[in-house]
Amino acid sequence: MANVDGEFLRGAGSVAVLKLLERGEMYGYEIVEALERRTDGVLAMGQSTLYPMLYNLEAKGFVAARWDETGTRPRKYYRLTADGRKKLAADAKSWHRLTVAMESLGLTSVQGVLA
Amino acid sequence: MSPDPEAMGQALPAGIAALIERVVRATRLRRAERDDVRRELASHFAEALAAGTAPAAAIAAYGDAKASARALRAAAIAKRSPIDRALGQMFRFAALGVGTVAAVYVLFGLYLAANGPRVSFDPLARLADVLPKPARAEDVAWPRYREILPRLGLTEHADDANVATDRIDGGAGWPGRAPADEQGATWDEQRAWCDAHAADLAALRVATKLPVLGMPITEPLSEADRAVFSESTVANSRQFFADTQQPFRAFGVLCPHLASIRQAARILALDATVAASRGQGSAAVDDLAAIIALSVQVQQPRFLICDLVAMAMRSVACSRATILLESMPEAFTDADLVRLQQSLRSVPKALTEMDLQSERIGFEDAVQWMYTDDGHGGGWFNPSAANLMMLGGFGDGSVNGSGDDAVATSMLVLTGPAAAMWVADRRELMEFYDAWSDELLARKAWTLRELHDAPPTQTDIPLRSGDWVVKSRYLIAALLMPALERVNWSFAADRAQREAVDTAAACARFKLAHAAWPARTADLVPAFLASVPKDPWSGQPVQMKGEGSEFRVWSVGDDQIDHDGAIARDGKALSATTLPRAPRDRSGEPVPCDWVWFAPSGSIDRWFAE
Repeated sequence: MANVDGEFLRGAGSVAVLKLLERGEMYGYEIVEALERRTDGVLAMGQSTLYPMLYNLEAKGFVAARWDETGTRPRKYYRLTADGRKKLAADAKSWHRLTVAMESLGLTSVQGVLA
Repeated sequence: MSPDPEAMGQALPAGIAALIERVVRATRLRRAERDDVRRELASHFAEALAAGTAPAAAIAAYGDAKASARALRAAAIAKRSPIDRALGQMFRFAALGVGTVAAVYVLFGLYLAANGPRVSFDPLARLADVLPKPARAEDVAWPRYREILPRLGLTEHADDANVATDRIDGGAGWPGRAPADEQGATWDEQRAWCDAHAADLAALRVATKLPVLGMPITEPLSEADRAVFSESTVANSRQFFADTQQPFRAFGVLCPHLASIRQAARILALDATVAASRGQGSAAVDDLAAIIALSVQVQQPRFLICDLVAMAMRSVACSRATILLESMPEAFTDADLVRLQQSLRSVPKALTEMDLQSERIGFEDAVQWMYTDDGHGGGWFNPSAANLMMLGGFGDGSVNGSGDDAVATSMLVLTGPAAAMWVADRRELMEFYDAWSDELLARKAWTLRELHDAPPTQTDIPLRSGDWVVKSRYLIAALLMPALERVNWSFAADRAQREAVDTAAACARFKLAHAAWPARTADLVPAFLASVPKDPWSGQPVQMKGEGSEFRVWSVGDDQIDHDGAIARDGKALSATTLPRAPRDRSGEPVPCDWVWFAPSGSIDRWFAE
């Protein structure tokens, strides 16, 4: 399935990343793979988009990062912060209202993306 | 221990490593931030490769490297602390400001390089305008001097005539006195020399009466002038006129005649002594009057050096006249003395006061070689490399002769804009010069006492002090404006000296008329003087006392204390300038004495050292 255009992804991408991290910390490549796999490619994003997005989320205090060098390859893990959880909760409500509104207009539900 | 980020990148396939480096470099982040980005991207690609992604596919999946770098940079900066970001912003603004200033500086330097000084007037033409013009060709004295001076041995040539005259000029110049040194002529030899040159001295005296000196000030020395001047003097003169691009032209080159003319004045003083010693007071007065007339001619043009030489010549005449009146009064008739007084009073008033007109031409000429305007605007200080080096005392203005052209030019480009912005512009400089001139000229008629008691001029104080701000802003003035504070004093001394001799001559006339000395100065008025002579040091009538050989007239002198006419010997009156200033003792302190105008004791002892 074709992914969404960049403009649309900019708003959805960060919410999607926060949602992924809700379950536990992940490293960059893992996030890319998860977005690709779990959204059937709709929210797939290259590293050129992901890493600046992660840096921004980190700058805003929604995620925190740490390097783990105990494995075969060094990895930088990102996890959700308390602020990040609040942000995710707020964004989820907004998305919910948005999808309801979209559905009321007869547009296809996108709720599955955030499930 | 975290692995080296660069090593991590290099462990990846070349294409990926290059992509990572391209992105990292394009972020223009700080080193630690770049390392973090590099490690993260390297980690990402390593994961992709480990998952079986082909390098080319991994590269393709990365996306737009440039956009990524921009986004990474923005995000990394957003991660910085607010203070850090503020400092970074400040640094960027500062760098931008410095860059802008540097760019403007360089542009200004290029502008200056393309806009050199604008030379807008010919100083020699201005000089010609202020020189007196002869009504007739025969009114010009110089062609006559050109013939007379060689016959008198008063030239720059090392010929026999000059050697003989040097012996005369170096003699003590007084009957019965031994020569001043081994080379000096005896009195008999001096007298014989004067007799042998009587016709030439007569011709000299006649020439001094002509209204125009006519020295070729505004044109090169001619072939005919070689009769007086040496090869090098003629060459210097021609060089001056040929090299019109030469700044800082030394206008003194235009006055090579001063030395010979000044020597002629001393010879005339000797001839006056010879004449008086023979009882020929009239001839002596002719010589003294010729010196004064010659001094008036020398003040064409009014360069300060000309003024100073003229005043030195008049001082010689005044000293010699006083000595002759004191020691050989019988040589003089009333008519002789009247003529002497007339001669002393004949110096035009304008020539007895400071005049900076010609000096200003020289100053303006130097200035016009260093400013970009044409004289009507402010202009930028922008001397050429050659001028700059001369100004800084680093050479003769010849860039080729002083070092590396490229170095000099580079220095100029680097320092030019700063100097142009710092150094006073042309209008400011000329206003400074005018203020300074005005202050000096306001004092031009002051008496010796007024000048002695006055503080330095307000303009002169900062210029001569250690105020580097003023000194550097008015660099040209500090370097080119002579210290003129003392010149007004020289003019005041010149006026006072002539008044002193005028008074002495009036006393001598009184004695001839009444067979006694006057009892008080008022006795001299109006028959012998127009008004009671004032002491230039006290502002009061000059002091007078005594009978017979004890009679004397005096001013209280520079210590402004009346020592009852006490005399101090200065020991140099016959050969050098005597100014109305007390001699100094060995410790430099003034000897307690008065400035004695007239002490007709019949002896010349007071004029020589004990």
